[in-house]
Amino acid sequence: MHTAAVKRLIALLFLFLFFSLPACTAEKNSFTGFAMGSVITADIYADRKAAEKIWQMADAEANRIDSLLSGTDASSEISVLNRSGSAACSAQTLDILRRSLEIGALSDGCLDLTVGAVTALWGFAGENPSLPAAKDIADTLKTVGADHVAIDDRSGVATLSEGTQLDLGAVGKGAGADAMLDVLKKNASPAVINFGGTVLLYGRPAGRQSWTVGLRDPYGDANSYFATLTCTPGTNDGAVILSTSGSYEKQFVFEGKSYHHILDPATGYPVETALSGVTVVSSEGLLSDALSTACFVSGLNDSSLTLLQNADAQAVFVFADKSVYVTDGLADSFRITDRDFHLIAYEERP
Amino acid sequence: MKKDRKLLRGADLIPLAVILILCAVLFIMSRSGKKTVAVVVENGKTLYEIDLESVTGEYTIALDSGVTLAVSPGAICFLASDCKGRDCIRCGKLTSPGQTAACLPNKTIVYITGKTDEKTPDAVVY
Amino acid sequence: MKKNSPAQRAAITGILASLAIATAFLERAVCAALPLPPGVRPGLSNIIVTFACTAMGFPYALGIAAVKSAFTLLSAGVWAGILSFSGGMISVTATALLLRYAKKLSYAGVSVISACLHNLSQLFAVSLLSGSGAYWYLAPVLLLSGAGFGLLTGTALNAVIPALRKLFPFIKKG
Repeated sequence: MHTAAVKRLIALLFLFLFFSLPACTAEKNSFTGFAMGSVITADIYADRKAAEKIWQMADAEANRIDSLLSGTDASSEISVLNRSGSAACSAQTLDILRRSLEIGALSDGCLDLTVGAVTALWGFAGENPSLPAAKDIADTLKTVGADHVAIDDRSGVATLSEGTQLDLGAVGKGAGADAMLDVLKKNASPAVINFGGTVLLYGRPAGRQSWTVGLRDPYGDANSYFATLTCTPGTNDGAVILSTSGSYEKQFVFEGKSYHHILDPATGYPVETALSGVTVVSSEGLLSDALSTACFVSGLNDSSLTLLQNADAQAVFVFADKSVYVTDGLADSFRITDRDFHLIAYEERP
Repeated sequence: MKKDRKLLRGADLIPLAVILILCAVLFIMSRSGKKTVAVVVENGKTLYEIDLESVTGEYTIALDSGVTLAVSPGAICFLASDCKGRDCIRCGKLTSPGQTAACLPNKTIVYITGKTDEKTPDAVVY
Repeated sequence: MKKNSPAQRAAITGILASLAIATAFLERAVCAALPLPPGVRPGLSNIIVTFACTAMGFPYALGIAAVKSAFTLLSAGVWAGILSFSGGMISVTATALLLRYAKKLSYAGVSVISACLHNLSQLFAVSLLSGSGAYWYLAPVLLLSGAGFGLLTGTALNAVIPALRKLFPFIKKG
């Protein structure tokens, strides 16, 4: 071998050493924002400039979905639809409506977007929720039901029956998470985004194989958790989205009785349940969000489990007595960190 | 062969030195993100970045948004707020990376960045 | 068997290859039971590969390293196999080059550089395959362990090579 060529080879070997050093710069960049009345926090693993661009796009997307679905913004497509009873909606809004109705049907009505008129009576969206009169509830209950919504695919017009109001509170953040996920997929940088409690995981975090997500302690403060889930998004654009529906989030006490905000579409009252929260894990935001509400309303039973199975989703059911049930797919990745909580088998459910 | 006689020779020190220097460089580079810094964001603008580890006394910060924060060694929290829900105050003291507290009506968020250990979750779902 | 015949070289290569495989296998088993950071290994099979480099020449050493990596692929899976190949190929090449052109270095020096390059190329492979740059926080540990174990294997080589030459005085570079 010629000495010169060999020297070049040795130099190359050491050069590759130094080329690898810049790879150390994929740091964690943290961002915050607001949308849908909630705080968004994001950790994006990329160099600073790229991370900022990704965040701006994701934040914009979350707010754009908010502007389509918001129940409080009078100019949102859903608000316009609620006011006029019939309105042309954008393709994205219609997709979200269709998907939500589809999941609603699969859940036997446990998830129902048409409860808007009833939720308005309770006032959970405002600052002073209160117990409505039984008669009012009975009257508005007549406007609830998936058959009160019709979507004309050709014209893109959605129509509601007289008095029916849509409330997308159960799926809004999930839909927002899906829109942010599209941004992440285009940029391929690993990231974790917490959108008002709905957690979106994309890619693999720096130096590790999986993410660790804590499950909020229903009885503790905002940063406390009673268990963790280890989530490994699949390779090739994998994402995991977790969403929780719980009675501990918004509730008020009236005459000694506590009322939470997740209504049973069949009765118009907060669903009577032994559960304090359900967390659903899947690869689609809208699905996780919708199913967490559906399963909370339905409870831990065969139909919920079948629903989850058919949707290829997993779930954690937490009861008020601190017993916990996890679906089979999570058994290996679920770990209780607060000993007051304990795992139970399906047969032992309260 | 010549090599068989000595275990270590003068020339061996060169690769060893290079390796030690490389190690030091890489180590210093990886340590740079480790401080516990509290970031205060109001209306999308980052107002303060406080290195909680170097805080010696206790003091308060009154923000234009109507929120007052309390800073003490290693911790920060919402002390007072003109919002109705007072959720922000109920978040309690933030002490470790990953923790967040926010006052929605006043659009103020406080969170702690820095190197998290293996035990800290990447996010808490609620 | 004729001295230094192809048949003899093939036979000795076979023995060395199986030795390399056995050592690598045992080492993997032992290290799995210990709480070591990922990638930190004594690299004992490198003793055999380096010996092959001095006694039989680069092509044979490369072959032995390749066979060892193939075995790792079969016994420990695709991920481990890829890492073994990337580390192995780079370190054999480096060893051969250093032995020939950096005569001022002792076996310890050669082993140290080879071990470090072995570890770093594995780190490189992992970051490329996973698309994530931050496995590099392990780099200092891998460099230090590479240097440490390199010194160990170099010491072993100092003892092993004269002994092996006595056993096989007919071995010449192929």
